[in-house]
Amino acid sequence: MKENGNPYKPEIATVEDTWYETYGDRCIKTLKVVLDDEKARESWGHRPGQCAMIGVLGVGESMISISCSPTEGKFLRFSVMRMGKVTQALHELEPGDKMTVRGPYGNSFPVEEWKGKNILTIGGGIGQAPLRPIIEYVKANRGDYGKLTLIYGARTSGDLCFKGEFEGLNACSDINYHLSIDVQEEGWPHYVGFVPSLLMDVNPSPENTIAITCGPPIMIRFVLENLKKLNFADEQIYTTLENRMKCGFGKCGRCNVGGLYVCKDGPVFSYDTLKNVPEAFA
Amino acid sequence: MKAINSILIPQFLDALARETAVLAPVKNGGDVYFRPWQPGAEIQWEQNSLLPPKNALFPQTEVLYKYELQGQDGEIHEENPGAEPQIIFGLRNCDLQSINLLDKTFLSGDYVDPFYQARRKNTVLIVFNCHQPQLTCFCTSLGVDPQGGEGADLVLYELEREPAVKSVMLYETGRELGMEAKTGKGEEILKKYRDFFSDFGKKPRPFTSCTLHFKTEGLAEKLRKMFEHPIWADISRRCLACGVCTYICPTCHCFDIQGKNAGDQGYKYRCWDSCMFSDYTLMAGGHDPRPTKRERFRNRFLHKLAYFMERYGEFLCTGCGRCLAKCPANIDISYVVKKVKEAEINAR
Repeated sequence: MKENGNPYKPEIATVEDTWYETYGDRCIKTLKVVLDDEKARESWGHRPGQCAMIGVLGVGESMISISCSPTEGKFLRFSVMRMGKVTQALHELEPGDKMTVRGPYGNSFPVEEWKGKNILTIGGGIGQAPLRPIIEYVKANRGDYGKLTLIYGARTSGDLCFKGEFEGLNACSDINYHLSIDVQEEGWPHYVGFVPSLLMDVNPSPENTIAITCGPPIMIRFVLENLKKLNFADEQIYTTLENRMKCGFGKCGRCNVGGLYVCKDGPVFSYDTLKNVPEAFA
Repeated sequence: MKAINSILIPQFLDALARETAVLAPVKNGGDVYFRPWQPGAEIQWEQNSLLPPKNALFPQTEVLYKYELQGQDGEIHEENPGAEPQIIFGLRNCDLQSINLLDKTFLSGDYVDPFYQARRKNTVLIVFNCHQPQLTCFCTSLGVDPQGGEGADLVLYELEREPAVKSVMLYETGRELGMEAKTGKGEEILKKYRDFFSDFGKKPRPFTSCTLHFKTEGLAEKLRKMFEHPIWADISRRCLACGVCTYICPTCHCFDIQGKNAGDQGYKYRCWDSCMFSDYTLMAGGHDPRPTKRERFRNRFLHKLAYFMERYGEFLCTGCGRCLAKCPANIDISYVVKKVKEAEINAR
């Protein structure tokens, strides 16, 4: 029988920096976090697409996707939408405050398998958070990948995350980004409409391309339809799922979609797998 | 082969309990429970316990770690998952198989649950073979041999040709019970307490048969095609979502993790949870992937009869019959299986 420590016990981490990505009722705050324990920090080693159970002692913990690539450094980033008790407590954290982190959990985007391919990310709202590590990973290993195309939309320009990071992208070779908002705003130079229609407008070629989409379920549904119209094969399409989780490693039983545990078998799934899974998009 | 006279069992348990905690099925207010053995207690041989001995390995609540709060900061104190040695005496083969299934969940995969592991390692299992099922039993339908003893350290059984235990006289004169070691731990007990045992040549009394019976061939495969079938709405309609089926189930392992604070101290604990409860999958943003009884009910049966099979190759049910005996709405897993087998699959 193998032995491991207590996987329920989190690491204590220090918040290094925080900033708001968006404001309003469903505001999103990014926390840049460093694990206190040096050994834990060195052995952490997450991969793009993985999640962590983060929280505040005495309040609770929530599963949040890690929104940075391991290529960025020995820190973690989480972009958290304020929703309930735990995310409220996370929003109250200031630089220097302590929080809890355990993980990393789940599978990851198969970025090694994708070497030599074009990468197309299609995000909506907070769904850009799990996509960001792919973008950063591809940027850090630029020679290993083909064209990188970002499609990203939100309700309003104020609801877009990581805004400051897009400007610099066009300077890189073979990286393009396309932004959209639902309704025209004064001075908005990009697309107006929903993400699935922006996808059709950009009209990416499926040839040697992997498409990854994250966002609200309704957006994912139409993006999948449109990717099929653009002749993407099921194996070329990836998405991530989220469900309520407690343990994070396949014991507590609640995050299943069909016979798969999102925490362990996911959160990354190819559409080829998910199309046969009941309630995957419930 | 060894045998022990039933009259000597209390003394044998007294001797075991002097060194190790012993849990045994005793009567309490009309029902049978696994309780710490105490001199003078009386073993219940005839009916299975109201609750399985799951609690001894996977307690209903269990502290995972403790913490101290210092303003926004805090300190975490490891909770040692060590467990005292224990002997579970007289569990039935259905509950024994449920422990084999809990082992799959908690001890396999990338993560081992250290709390369960510590208890499991320090637990000796003495199974009591059944020769006569209760009316709600259907272990044989799920491939459980009521006299199999798979995973047990010691097996205790009734012997052939002894009259059924009915009269007070028999209790007083006692009857011989066979005992066989299945593991090294079991051998040790037989050796250490050899004065209680005699050599005996009689065969185990055969198992009669379950009155409740169904075939499971092709069940998981058929269920996979029945996700949207109307039977889920039909059968779940009378479910009260009370969760008793999950609470008394020997194989249900789902749990919640919560924290409890008192001043600047606190602890994180896990507790049994039920997939039948409305907030089980409810997310903070208000979205619930299983919003009604129909989806929750369907998930419970699919987990037992299809999903666990896909992951671990076995049904997550051992046919102990507790859920159908205790359901206030008379929902019966054997009826669900019958409906599934009768259901026509619309080839849409």
